[in-house]
Amino acid sequence: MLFNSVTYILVFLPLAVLLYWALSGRARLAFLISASIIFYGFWRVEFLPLMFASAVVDYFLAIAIDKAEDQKRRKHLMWVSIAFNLGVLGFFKYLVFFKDTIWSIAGAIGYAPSPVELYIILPLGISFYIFQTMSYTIDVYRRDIRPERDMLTYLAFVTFFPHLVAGPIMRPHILIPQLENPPPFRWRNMRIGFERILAGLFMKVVLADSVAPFVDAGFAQGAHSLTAIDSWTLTFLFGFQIYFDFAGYSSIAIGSALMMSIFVPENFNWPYMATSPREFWKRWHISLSTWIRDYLYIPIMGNYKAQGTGAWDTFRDVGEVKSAWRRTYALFLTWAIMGLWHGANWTFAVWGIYHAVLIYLHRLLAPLATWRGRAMPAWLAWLCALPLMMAGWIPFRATTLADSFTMWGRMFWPFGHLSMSLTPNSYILAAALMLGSLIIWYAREVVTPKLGQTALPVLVMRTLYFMVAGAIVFIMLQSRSQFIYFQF
Amino acid sequence: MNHASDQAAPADGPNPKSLWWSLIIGLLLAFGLLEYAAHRWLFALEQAAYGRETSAAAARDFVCQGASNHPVCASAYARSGRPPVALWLGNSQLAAINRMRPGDNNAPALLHADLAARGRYLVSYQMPNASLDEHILMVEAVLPTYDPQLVILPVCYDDIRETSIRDDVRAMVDLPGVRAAMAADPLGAEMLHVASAGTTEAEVSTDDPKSVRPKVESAIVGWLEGHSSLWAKRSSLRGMLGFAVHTLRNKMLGINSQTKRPVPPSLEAERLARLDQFLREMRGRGTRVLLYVPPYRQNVSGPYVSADYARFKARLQALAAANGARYADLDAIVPGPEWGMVTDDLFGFQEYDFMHFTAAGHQRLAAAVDAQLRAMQF
Repeated sequence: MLFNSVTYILVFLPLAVLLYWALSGRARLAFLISASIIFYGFWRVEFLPLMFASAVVDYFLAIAIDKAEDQKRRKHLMWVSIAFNLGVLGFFKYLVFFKDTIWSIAGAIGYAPSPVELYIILPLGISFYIFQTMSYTIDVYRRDIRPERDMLTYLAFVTFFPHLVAGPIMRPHILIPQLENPPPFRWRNMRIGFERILAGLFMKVVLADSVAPFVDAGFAQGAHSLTAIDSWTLTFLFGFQIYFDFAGYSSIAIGSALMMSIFVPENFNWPYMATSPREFWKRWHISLSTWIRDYLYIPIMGNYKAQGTGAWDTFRDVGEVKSAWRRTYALFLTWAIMGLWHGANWTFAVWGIYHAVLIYLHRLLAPLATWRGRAMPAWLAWLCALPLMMAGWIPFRATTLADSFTMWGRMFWPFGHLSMSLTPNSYILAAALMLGSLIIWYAREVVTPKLGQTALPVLVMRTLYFMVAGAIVFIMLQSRSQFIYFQF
Repeated sequence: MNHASDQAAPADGPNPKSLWWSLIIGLLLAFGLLEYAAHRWLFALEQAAYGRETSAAAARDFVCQGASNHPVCASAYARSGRPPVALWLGNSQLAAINRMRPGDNNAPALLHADLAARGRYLVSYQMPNASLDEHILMVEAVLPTYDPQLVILPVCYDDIRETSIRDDVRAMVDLPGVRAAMAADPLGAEMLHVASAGTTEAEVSTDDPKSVRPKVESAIVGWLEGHSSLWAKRSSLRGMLGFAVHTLRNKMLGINSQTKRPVPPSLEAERLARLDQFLREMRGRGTRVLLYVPPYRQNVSGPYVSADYARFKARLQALAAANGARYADLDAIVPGPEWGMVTDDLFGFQEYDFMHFTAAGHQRLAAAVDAQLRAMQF
C-alpha cells in the first residue's frame, strides 16, 4: 500500500488507528500484525512468506544465541543469522548484478559466456526488514537486549506497517518496549501525528511529484547534451526531489505511528543546512546512517570494544587498533557497502565512495580551513558543503557511470559549457525551491523558537499553512508515483 | 544500552489549545477555499487557454475535440460511405475563433465543406497545446478507422516544447485493433512505449494483475467521485492550480506572450528526429503528408527568436523534401487585424494573442490548405 494513496489515507489508516485503540493486550498485537499483512499484501501477497520466514529464523536464532554460554557458539550462531539474511538479500537484490558483472568481465577478457536471463522481482522493503532483523540478532549477541520470547510482540516489531517498506529502520530497543507496554492514548499525539502526515503528503504529492517530471526530462536528455548550468540545476532538482520524497515518506510513517502513540525516531533534520559532509549524514536518513555506524563502521574499525559485554567486537577481535589506516579503510569500505545497499549498480558504489572521499577530505582539511584567522563561519561552511552534497546525487540518479562522470566533468570544469538547454521552468523551480527552503528553515528554526509556538504571529502562520497545505493536498492527493526508496 | 539510542522518545509535552485551534481553523479555511474555488473560480481549462475573447467553435461530427468524441467522428465517417479522407491535426488554433459571431465557422468546417463538394472527406482532431507525440499517437490510433490518403500536419514552433501526452490520447491505443497494429511497425511500437510511460497508478491495474492496490484505489476514487461533488472536481481544480501557478510565475518574472522563448536545441533536434521517423513511415505506407507552418502573428513582435525560427522552418522544409512530403509555409497568411488579444479568466491579465484569429483568418487558412491539397491533386 502506498502512503500517498487514497486507500491508505482515507480508509486504511483511520480504520487501523481506530481498531488499535479499540483493542488491547494480545488482541492489539494480533491486529497490528494483521494490518501489516494487509498493508504489505496490497503490493504482492506472494512475498509475505519470505518476510515472515526471515523474521521467524531470526527469532529462533536470537533465542539460541541468548541460551548459548560458549562465546564461540554465540558468534557462530550470529554469523548464521548474518549469512542467512545477507543470502536472502543477495539473491533477490544482487544476483542479477553479480551475474551481469561477471559476464561483463568475462566478455572483456575475451571469453563470451552464453547469455543467461534471470527474472527476479525485488520484494518490497527487503533491504529494510532484513537490516532490522539482522540488527536484532546482533543486539542479542552483543547482550544489548534480551531476545523477545513472545512471538506476537516480535512479529509486530518486524512487520509494524508504518516503517515496514522504507523505514525509518527501527531498533528493537526502541520499538519492542513500546509494543510490550503501549503508551496511553494522547490527543496531543493525534494532533502531531495528523500534522506530520499532512506535511509528509505535501512534501510527496505536491513537491516531489511536481519536481519529478523536470528531473526525468533533464536526465533523459542525455548527459552529453547537458551543460554545466544544466547539470548543477538537475542535481539540485534531484536533491530536492529525493529529499521531499523520502522525508515526506518518513514524516507520514512517523505521524501514522504517533497516532497510535508509538514513537518512531526522526529520519531527517534539515540535511541541506549541514555545514560539513559529516553533519549532512547526521541529518540525512538518520536511521540508516546510525545503523551503518553501529553495525558496520565501528565493528570494522574494531576499536570500541566495551568492557564486560560483547558490544562492538561483532566482526573483529582486534582490541584497541586506532590507526589512521584502519579508520580510512573502515570509512571507504563502509561507504562502498552503503552505496551498494541503495542499489545493485556500480553508480551507487561510486555515490558511496564519493561521500567517503568528502568525509575523508573534510577530516584532513577542516582544521586548516579558516576565515580571517578564525574557524570558518557556519554560513561559509554551508555554502561550501551544499553544492558538494548536491553533486553527490549525480551517480545516484544517472543510469550509467559514463553519464555520471560526464555530468561531473561539466560541473567542475564548466568552461565552454555555460549555455542553458533545459526548459526555463527547471531553472526557475530549482531557484524557487532553494529560496523557499531557506525561508521555511529560517521561520521554523530561528523565528518560531524565538517567539514561542503559541505566539500570535506563529499561530497565524500555522493556520495559513494548514489552509494552503490542506487545500493543495486534497487537490493533488493521488498515487502518481511510488516513493523512490521503495526500489531499495 | 551500549550504543547511543540516538534519539530519546519525545517527552509528553504540553498540548496548548491554541495549536488545536490553528489546525482546526486552518482546515476549515481550506475546505471553504476549495468550495469557493470550485464554485466561483473553476472554469473550463480549454477556455483558460483561449482567453476571454476567443471561443471554441461548436464540435461537429468531423471535428474531434481531442480524443473524447472520436466515436462520434468515426461513426459519422462510416455513415458517409467512406470517401477518400484527409486527416487534419492541430492545436487550439484550428478549433478556436477570436471574436466569434453567430454563424462563424472554423477552418476545418470550411475545408470540410469544400472537400465534400469534390467527393472528398475531411476529419480533424484538435488538442490545445498538442505535442508532436500526441499528434503521432493520434494518427497511429485512427489509421485503422479512416485509412487516410492524406495527413495534414501543422508543426507549431511553440508546441515543440510540449512533450506530454494527455490521458485521453494515451487511451486511444486501447481502441480495438490499435495496439496490435501499432506493435507491427517500429514507430508504432515506439509510440506504444511512449504512451505507456508515465501512466498513473490507477491505470496500471490492468497491466499488473498480481497487485490488488490499483484496483482498490480505483474503486475508492470512483466511489468518492460519485458521492462528493468537490472530490469530482479535483481534476479541474488541479488544472486551475497549475494555470494559476503558471500565471503567477509569468507575472512575477514579467513574462508575457511577447517574451522571447527559445526552444532548447536538443529538444528541437529530438522532435525533428521523431517527425522524420513519422514522415518515413507515412511514405512507406503510401499516405501523403502536407506539413505546414501554421499562421503566426506578424504585426507585433512575437515570442519566437527570429533566427531560430527561420532555421527551424528551413529544417522542416528539408525534412519534408527528404521524405516526399509537401511543405507549406503559411505563417504570414493572416494579417494583423485578424488577430486579437487574450485575457485570462482567472486574473483578467491581457496580452497579445499569437495563436487564435478571427473567422476571416480561418477562411484564409482553409483556402490556403485547400490550395495545397489541390496542388497535391486531392
